[in-house]
Amino acid sequence: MTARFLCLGLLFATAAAGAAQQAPRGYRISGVVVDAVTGAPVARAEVSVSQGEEETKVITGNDGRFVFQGLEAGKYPLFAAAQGYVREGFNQHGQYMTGIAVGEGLDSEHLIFRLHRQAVITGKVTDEHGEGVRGARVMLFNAGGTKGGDARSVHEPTQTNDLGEYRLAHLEPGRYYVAVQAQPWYAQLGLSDVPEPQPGEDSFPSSRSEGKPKFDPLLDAVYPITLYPGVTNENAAAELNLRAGEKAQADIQLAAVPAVHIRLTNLPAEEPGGINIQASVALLRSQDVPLNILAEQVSPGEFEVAGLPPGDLTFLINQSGEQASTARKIRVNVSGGETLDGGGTRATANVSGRVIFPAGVAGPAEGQVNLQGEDDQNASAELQKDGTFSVPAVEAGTYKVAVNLSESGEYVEGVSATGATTSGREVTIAGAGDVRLSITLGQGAGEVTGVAKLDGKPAAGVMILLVPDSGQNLEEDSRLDQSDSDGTFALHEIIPGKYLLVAIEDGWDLERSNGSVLKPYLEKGQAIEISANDHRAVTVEVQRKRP
Amino acid sequence: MRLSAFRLVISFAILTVVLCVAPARAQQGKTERFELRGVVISAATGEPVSWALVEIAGPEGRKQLAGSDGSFAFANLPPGRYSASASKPGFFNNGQLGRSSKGRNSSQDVPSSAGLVLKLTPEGVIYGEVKNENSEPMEGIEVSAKPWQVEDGRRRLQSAGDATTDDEGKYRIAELTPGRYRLAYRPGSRAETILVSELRRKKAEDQGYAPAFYPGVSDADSATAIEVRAGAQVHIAQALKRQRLFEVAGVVRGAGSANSVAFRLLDTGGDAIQRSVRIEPRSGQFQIPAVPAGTYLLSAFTGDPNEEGRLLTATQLIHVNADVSGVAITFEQGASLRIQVRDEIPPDGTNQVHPVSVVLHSKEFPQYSAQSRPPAAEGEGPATARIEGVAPGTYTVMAFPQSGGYIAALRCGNVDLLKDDLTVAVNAALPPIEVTLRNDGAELTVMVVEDGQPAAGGVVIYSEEYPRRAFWAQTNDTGTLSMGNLAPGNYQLVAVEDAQDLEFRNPSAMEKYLSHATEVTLLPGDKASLQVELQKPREQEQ
Repeated sequence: MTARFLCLGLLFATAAAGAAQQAPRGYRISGVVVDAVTGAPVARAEVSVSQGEEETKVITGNDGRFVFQGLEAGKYPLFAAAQGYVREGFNQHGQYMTGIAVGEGLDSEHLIFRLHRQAVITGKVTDEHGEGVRGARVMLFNAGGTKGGDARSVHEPTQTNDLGEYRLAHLEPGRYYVAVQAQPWYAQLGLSDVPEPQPGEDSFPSSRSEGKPKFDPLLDAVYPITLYPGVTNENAAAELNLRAGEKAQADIQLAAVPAVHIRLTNLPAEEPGGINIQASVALLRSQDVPLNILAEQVSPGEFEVAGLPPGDLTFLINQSGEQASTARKIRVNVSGGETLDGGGTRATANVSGRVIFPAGVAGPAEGQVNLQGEDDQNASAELQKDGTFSVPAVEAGTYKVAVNLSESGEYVEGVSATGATTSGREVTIAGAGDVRLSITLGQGAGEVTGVAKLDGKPAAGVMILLVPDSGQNLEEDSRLDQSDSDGTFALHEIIPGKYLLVAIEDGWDLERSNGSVLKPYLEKGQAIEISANDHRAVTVEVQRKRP
Repeated sequence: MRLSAFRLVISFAILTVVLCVAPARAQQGKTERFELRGVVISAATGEPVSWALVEIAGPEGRKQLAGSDGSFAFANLPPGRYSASASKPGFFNNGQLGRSSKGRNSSQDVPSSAGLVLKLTPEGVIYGEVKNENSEPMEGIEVSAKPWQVEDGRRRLQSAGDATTDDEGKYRIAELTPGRYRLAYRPGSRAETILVSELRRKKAEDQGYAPAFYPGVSDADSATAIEVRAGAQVHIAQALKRQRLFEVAGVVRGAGSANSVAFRLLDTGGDAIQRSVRIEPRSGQFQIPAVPAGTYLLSAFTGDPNEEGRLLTATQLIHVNADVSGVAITFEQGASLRIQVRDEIPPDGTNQVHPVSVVLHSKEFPQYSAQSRPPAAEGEGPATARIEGVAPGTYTVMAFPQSGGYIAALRCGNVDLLKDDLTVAVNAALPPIEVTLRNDGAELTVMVVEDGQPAAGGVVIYSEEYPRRAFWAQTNDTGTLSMGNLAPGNYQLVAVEDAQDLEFRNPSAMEKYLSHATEVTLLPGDKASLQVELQKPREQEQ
């Protein structure tokens, strides 16, 4: 009753949960939005709470306060946005935030929602003539990444406008790199089919293809990817160090260089499905930025690739067969006119086998077997109805075996092979020959839920980390979560095995990829063994961050 | 003294040798080679345009960049006639402006003493800020520049460019050709269909922002035109006001599985309002939140599980100025029009089928039209084409023969659709649309002249007695146009340079031209040929 009266009288829109149907439980979420640096209340902030697809919004007054009423018991994600601030989830760290648990005996009021003033980077991209470059792609990288680790792309790339200007807003305070990718507007992408001038002929022979204009060689130009303050060498890139509320200007001038042409030889001349060639640049050791190139077969088995910038490039050659496809990466430094071996002079093996499903599981639906090698050598094949697969022409190397199925829930439990060595989920192929793989799938990922406690009391916003005991497959098998306002957390899709569970207060700044950083915490962690379909409930002791 | 004289003799000899050799070298090549020079300038200011890309075509094709002073020179060209064009981002050349062939190409003979002047028209830009009623910047508003453009004689609002406001509420729309534009604002929103297990009672009054046109009106006809001249940067600031938004609720029937129903809410401006529609699959009840006041066409689409690939639609007209409930959308029961073709084309022994496509253009919703589906299977003749799910309203009906023939008659019951519009009433059962096809039409050749000289241009073939028959066509470069299979009757021919911009489906737009039109009466089988004088454009209200 009380709750319904409050609903009608409110000025704000609230979730009037089926007013007539059931007696609403009427819990509240309330608090104040403040500036994370100054602590001052933020007026006219939009605070929202989501229930499934429905979102309820409230605007704070001058005191920064917000109230949601008439809520059913449960957990709610809480977001706030304000003009000049970054839009954030409550206590957000990357993809994780503290959910607000609402119900009997739970305190979901007196929340202090810290919003960070947005940082902004604006700038102008100009060309070698000093004119603005429109439609250039501007990419933003977080230099901080994982403290000394590689940079991460943090923002959707934006485009420059007609003046060549761009604006990147809603940025969290941090250290950033800005990179620009563009093509000279006048660039003519074409193959170098210019024949050698015959003696006695003029130096400007007429074009071979009828009707195609002969373009000035100066037009066969590219812009290499350029980083602020206007360098093409990553090591010379300047960091932009932004504090909350700061605005930085990052102008970048592009310089056109002659495009590089290379030849790729030794590719299959007849391949059903075709050969696809892509080129990219590995930027800041973090991302492969695709390049806009032209690749065409100029003679059987030989391709020319045009429109390339000079420097370190990665070529990805995809050969698609009817049932299988293989990809090969070549990393090379080019300056022009090189000839590269694109094909299989390396010894290859024919890999075939079957996938064994766990007992009681219906036969295979659609799926794919993936062999992921080092340097992103990839090979994959379609799974047949009888569970078999076949991947021809796999190059020597070590591959991680994965099976992609339309229904998940299965994971690769083990791999055995004849004609190759295996270890865990990996298979090492030595060279030419036949390899028969047997892939056993396990079913029943596990789940761990629980409460994180600090000094006996539930702790919110704590980093919960589950790490394989063996130290192997850290990237694929670790699980992460942030504890909610009632200290609860949940970790899903855990592959059965032995693990260590740790809860670290303020652990979000730690360099998780560095084993030595985590070691002291893991030593005090909780050992836990997960079996198939396990649902464990635990209480974990929160460790304070070490200095 | 003697020494210097000797030196003088030697130098003279050397000089002579050099002069004699040079011409000989020039004759070594197979033909003589020449230069084509010129400059690229702005059509608005006459100032040179730096670093444009110049392309020439002729005995040889070339492309190169002009210099910072706009000048260019192509060397070593064989003689002949060359055509040239320039391009640069931020500018339009004549080809890009869609000018009639008169002004399109710049040509030059090589060799020539004159320099070639290429003109580029600088782009126009509309830029500014969008704020709310508290003068706070609004982010994420989609701003678009919309010119009225004529397509097939009908005036429609198109989009020439758009931009989304940033966190300061600022936007820039560039690459606008000179002209008049309406500026439209659309607050960003998602459109999706959300399946819920139970629809909730509506929350308290919804307020929000509705799409609007500069300077703050809700429909395109009341919007103020913004004049953009070549090279102009026009600044427009706008404040949007909050207004009441309403809920539209109802039920969808006959969908088979309501899981696959998609909705579209079309406003009179022709844009779809994007909203997340909540629907309860079991009952088919739906709610569309936050709809601004106005008149809409609500359409629902679903795939029929009985027939693969067949999309069912149902459309309703709704007026929103308060919460609307009880809207019933029933598939397969909207007005369904049958199309009957009377094929009077004499058979020629090849058993050729002569399909006809029929299109209904809505008068209330200019962007909405319904088209007949071709007959589903081989065995069904053209006689069983239909148009499904037509919403109540008034329509202009057009028929197009797909392979041969002309439309001799187009009727729906008593209504002559070549003259009048079709009214579809709520829940009405309509007689079929009868299309009569014949192929004993007339041939007409038109020669357009201006002051006695042939002139290229566009010709509108207008019919006062059967306005739906009107169409336009372009002459070739020498001003001649030939057409076949014209329906016999009286026509008024109007020739103007830019006929594509003439709103010939609007009788009041044609009035001034008709008094100077050339009349012709065509009988079946006629072969007529006449001259039409090119008319000057008359002032049009845009």
